[in-house]
Amino acid sequence: MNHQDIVTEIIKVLTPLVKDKGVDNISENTELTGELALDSMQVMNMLLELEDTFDISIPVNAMADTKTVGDLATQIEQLMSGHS
Amino acid sequence: MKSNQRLASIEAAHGELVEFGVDPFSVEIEEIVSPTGGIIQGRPTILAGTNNYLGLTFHPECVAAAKKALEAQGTGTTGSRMANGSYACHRELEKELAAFYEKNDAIVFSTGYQANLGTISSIAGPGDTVLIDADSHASIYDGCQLSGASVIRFRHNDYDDLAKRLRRMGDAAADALIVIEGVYSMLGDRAPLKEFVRVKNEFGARLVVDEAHSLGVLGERGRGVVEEAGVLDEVDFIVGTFSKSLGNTGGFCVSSSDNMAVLRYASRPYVFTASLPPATIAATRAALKLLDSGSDLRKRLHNNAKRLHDGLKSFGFTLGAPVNAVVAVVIGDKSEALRMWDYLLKAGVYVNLMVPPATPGSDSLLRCSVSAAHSSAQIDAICNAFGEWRSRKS
Repeated sequence: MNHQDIVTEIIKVLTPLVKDKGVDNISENTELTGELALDSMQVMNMLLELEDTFDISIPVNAMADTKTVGDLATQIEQLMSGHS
Repeated sequence: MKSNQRLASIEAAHGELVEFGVDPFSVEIEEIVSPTGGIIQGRPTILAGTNNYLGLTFHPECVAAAKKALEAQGTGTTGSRMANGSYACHRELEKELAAFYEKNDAIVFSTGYQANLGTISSIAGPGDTVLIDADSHASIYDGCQLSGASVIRFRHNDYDDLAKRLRRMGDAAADALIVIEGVYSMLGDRAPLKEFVRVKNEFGARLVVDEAHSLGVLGERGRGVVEEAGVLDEVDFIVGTFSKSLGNTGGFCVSSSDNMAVLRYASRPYVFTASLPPATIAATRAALKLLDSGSDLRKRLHNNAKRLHDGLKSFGFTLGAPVNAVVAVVIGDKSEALRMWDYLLKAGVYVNLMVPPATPGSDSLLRCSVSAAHSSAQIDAICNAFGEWRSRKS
């Protein structure tokens, strides 16, 4: 699974979470807490779902520098290849 | 001062309350008259949100012990135990806690918050992995952050989800630290501790259980969920607080680990803070004796919890968990919860308003904590105030 496939999966998980927020288009550069205004609970639920999808555990501390969908995809890519 | 993102969001939330005209987070108890009664906004008020589970704050033996220590040993210790020395009473309390839990040793901390902070951050360090329940108390999250370890969350009370995450770790799972709570403070729900112990044994990991809301409440001798579930021997570290069932302030960690002496000195929240004053230690020791012999107190507490639980159910409220000393009424909408909280206070009943993100999910809660010291009439008055709100609405 390459970076773009991971981005696509993340967008798939995010779309229903933000359906009431008037967000037209989620892309690799979309900010999770900024543009999508996800609160801490929504971020946590999104991560739990992504962890199941990719069969990984995402450390809470790994999220500190994760701002965009693309950053998150990079994190997941690293965790899937055994690096963090 | 430049406002950061966190301060800005708190400012916005506070602004909402100001606009609403009610601020449940700045309640002043003008006079405290008993474990279950006080004066708020000039009115006699039943206190149903204090975590004073055994109602020991005014117990004559605790008050007398505190007075005696105050007169004999002075008001404070004026420093940390490591830098400025322990008093004999600190060590005596640690021995009594270790004996109570049938463990080798105990460390006393100056608050319950610091007990989690100090325990987790000294057991785990950079390069380690700590697995925590997603609904953990802030002190557990903060302890993890202070440790510098990698932190992985598992779904609330879901031991299969924990096992899945340990499996992903491979051989490293044997070095992992798992942290859970016996009873979760928001909803009052218990951890399925037997199952968690089975999973930790399967992977050879270590387990910390925070019994803040179950010490004195559950188990034959009041030793919490670890005792109720029959797994006292198999839990590696038990953390607790003096500020709920014991009616004081402070916290502790007990364990049979060989490393307790080292953990004490590795723990920044232990080393870099002033130790508890002698009067607090004396009152806590007196309360621990009462708790240990207090099956009648627990019986009263459980009868009161059942009376409140059943009463609220009879009015059609949705409650967060089966009968326990924490009875959380699930309201859902935040504005409704605020209005209801304000109504209850004006009716002479003080409960805790809990709103997201402090609550699990997106529901707001009105959280009651029951005390052995509540009278049946007080419990009925709490139920009736809730019921009157409901009948006003329909």
